[in-house]
Amino acid sequence: MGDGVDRVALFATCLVDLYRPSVGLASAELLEQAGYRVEVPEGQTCCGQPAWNSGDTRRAKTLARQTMAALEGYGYVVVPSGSCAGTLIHDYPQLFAEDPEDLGAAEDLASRTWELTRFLVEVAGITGLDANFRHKVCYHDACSGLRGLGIKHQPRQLLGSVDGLELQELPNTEICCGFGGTFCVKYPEISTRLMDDKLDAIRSTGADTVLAGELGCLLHIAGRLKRNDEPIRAYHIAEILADMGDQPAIGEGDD
Amino acid sequence: MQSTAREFPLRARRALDDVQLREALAKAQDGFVGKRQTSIDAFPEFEALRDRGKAIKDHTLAYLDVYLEQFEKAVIAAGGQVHWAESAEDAQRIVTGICQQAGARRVTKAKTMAGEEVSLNEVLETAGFDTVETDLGEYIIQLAKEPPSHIIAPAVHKTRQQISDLFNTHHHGGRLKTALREVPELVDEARQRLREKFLTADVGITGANFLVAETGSIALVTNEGNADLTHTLPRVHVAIAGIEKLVPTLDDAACMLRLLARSATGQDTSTYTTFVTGPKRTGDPDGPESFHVVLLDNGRSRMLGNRYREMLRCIRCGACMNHCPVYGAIGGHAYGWVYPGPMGSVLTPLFTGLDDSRDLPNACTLNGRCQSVCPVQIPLPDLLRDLRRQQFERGLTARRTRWVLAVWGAIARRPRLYHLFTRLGMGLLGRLGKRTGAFRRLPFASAWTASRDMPAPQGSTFQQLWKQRQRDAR
Amino acid sequence: MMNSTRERILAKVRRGLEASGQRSIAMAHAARELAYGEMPSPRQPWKGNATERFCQRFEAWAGTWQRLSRVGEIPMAVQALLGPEDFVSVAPHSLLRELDWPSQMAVNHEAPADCRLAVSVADAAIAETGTLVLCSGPQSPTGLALLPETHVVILRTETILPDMEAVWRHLQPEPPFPPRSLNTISGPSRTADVEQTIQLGAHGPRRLHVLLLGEHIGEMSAGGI
Repeated sequence: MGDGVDRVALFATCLVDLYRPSVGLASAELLEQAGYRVEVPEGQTCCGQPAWNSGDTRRAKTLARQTMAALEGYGYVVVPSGSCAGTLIHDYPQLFAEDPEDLGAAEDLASRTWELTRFLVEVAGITGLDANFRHKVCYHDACSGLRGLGIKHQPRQLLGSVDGLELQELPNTEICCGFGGTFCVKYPEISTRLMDDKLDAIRSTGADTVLAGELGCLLHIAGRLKRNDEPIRAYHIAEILADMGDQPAIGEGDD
Repeated sequence: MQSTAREFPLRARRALDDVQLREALAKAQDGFVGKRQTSIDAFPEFEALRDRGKAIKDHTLAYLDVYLEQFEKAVIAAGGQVHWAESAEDAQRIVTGICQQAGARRVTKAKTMAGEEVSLNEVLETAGFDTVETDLGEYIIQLAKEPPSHIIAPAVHKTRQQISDLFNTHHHGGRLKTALREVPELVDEARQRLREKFLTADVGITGANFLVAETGSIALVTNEGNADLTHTLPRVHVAIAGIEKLVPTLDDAACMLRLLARSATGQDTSTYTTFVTGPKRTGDPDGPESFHVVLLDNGRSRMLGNRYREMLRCIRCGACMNHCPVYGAIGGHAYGWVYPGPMGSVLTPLFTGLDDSRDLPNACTLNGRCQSVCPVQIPLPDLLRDLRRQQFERGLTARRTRWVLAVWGAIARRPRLYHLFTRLGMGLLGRLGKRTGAFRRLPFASAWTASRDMPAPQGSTFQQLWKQRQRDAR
Repeated sequence: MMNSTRERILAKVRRGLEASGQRSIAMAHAARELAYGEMPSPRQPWKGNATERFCQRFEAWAGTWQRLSRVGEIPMAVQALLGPEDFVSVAPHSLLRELDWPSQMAVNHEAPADCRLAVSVADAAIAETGTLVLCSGPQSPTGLALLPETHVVILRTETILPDMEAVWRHLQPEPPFPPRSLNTISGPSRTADVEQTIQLGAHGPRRLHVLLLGEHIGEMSAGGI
């Protein structure tokens, strides 16, 4: 690998930055294990997805320009979230479709951006992992990764390399968990109904742990599980792949 | 139909509490999704078929003026008449006029969404015509005095118990003793009731699944055969259709029918697919004496000039709502107008105004499943997002949302401020939530915490920990 | 009034499309060729001969069929399907008029509303989907396909074509095409409007039976009965 190409910018996403930094650390760990030099550009904050999805194009553009500038020059940009990666890959070029001065940079960034599990499988080509997690788990396919980026077999392939991990497929895995960004607070009752259907599916697998590659969905799942006082735990897939499954799960305290 | 989309939040909550509705929807959605999947698994080139469907509709729309005129000419050559309706009122006046001129008393109708769009039933009933819906689902909801809740299965929200009760009230004056009746019995009773209506109707009104420009034909798709009885037995046949229903040729119709049947009901064809061209000919033993097509604009031509032209590809198959989690949770009535689900959430604001349907573009998780099953690849989530943009620009976005976006935007666009705020904020929340791991209640987050705990952050931001890690490594 | 509405709608359409002035059908057709017209539509792949495919799909729609070796067998086959009180409506088709209908059978060449059994002749069939094609015309009242409890359709195997497009090629040369009503029918009438449960005999026939005439039927002699 030549210089520049083996330099990977980790775009952690604001949700990981704020809520679950261990996902960022786990991602960096995995990328380093695969032989890349990981950098975390300081100018990164939020990719602007909430503004874009709320129709606030002006603010979305401001944050997109900032993100594009922060991530300039890296051979690869890796994101531990399908929806934020999707924003960089699909939405930025749409956002700047009529701004020729930014469109080039947006398309360039789009071509360099990868969701974490897809990058690990398709670019890094990693085959083995030094991780073990002796649990029965199910994997929740977050919609934006599944349909927007074709992420389906990659996380499953990676989980196959985790020692002791038993993967149970979720029924109706194509169905949304009801998070949907601002949707979950705009229509909480509908959102919760969808989550309860998802929890039925999760319970039906008999898994004690639910994994996903999307922190938004995970906060939603963990939040509802916790409200119900259910023992099922939730982790980001990167944490398990990086052998960090012994730390408290999402929403789990010291008690 | 008058839109009640303004009441979406209230109606959605009510729907969530309706146990019978939940039961009916769960059953229907599983059925539709499974049957469609089975039919597509048996059709290896389905993606190529979708590509072609999109290409056919895109091309037709790009030459819509040409095909409209070609269609009109062909209908006239076959002895039919073409009427142009710019608005719902135009369509109402035209259809009422045809019925009056025919001296009609009874009018039978086969399911038409364009007809629902212009409130044909109400208008014809007010004008004194005995108006009877003949699609079993439409008949059921006509008895219940409700609008359709699904564009393919209008009575999908009704359970067998509710249908038994409706038939008891309307067919037996409430005298029947058996409360819950079997499906064959119910279908048979409707068959007998409606057969008499078919035989005594003066005018038959249908929609059109496609309009074929080269021949002036209308394509009608049903499983019951009710559209065929509706256009064959009465003296007059009126078909009402949106101007976007055109396809250039019969071959194109054949392709679109492959897509429609699979996407709508998972069949490889519907039981009855009929091409009607003009009225009864010399020597024909049956058929209507006159044939009218009402071409409805009602805002469609306006959509041609902007990105909503893509929405005009819609062939009304219902796949988007069958695969929509929100529709599956609340059913069709909460959407408040003729078209529910994802396609309705785009069409209702365009047809009835963004102001009166503020919730619809937002009541979507942008999960994208609708787009992935749409037979003509309409980017429904993108169109919904674009409606949100229009709302934002016109100040129709909820004040709370605007306020949150403004605060978040102000912080996120200044990385140093962002790092400072997030470090302090997460530090505090992390300490507060360290023991329990999650919050039962949080100020400003009641919409979340009403039904979910808010997981506590780990306490440091990733950027903090990363810098720490870099320092430690040195 | 009506004409001005027409002009207004067409003007709005042209404005939306940014199309200046009249464009010809030839222009549209050329664009169609370029966009997709040269390629055929993808269709359901199937193996074997058209008749076998038709019979197999037709059975899947709950249709029934039997093979006849000559036209003269039609009346007997029809009689076997009749109930004791039933009378028969027979399409005024040259093929059927020439037949020797038994005198004890009440044969009618109209399409009365209460007929229990009707006989028509199909103009073609589609192997891809197991679909009968009936064109309305002096020899073929549409009502016969809709009103009876049982609809019997005579189908010549040489008119079973691969797909709908082939049916257009087959019928088009013979005006008046298209007829007033071109009905394509796949099995008896059905509905799923009560709890998504499929129920036959919604408005149209409860039973659809095909009498197959001609070669290429192979080993099979009846199906779906």
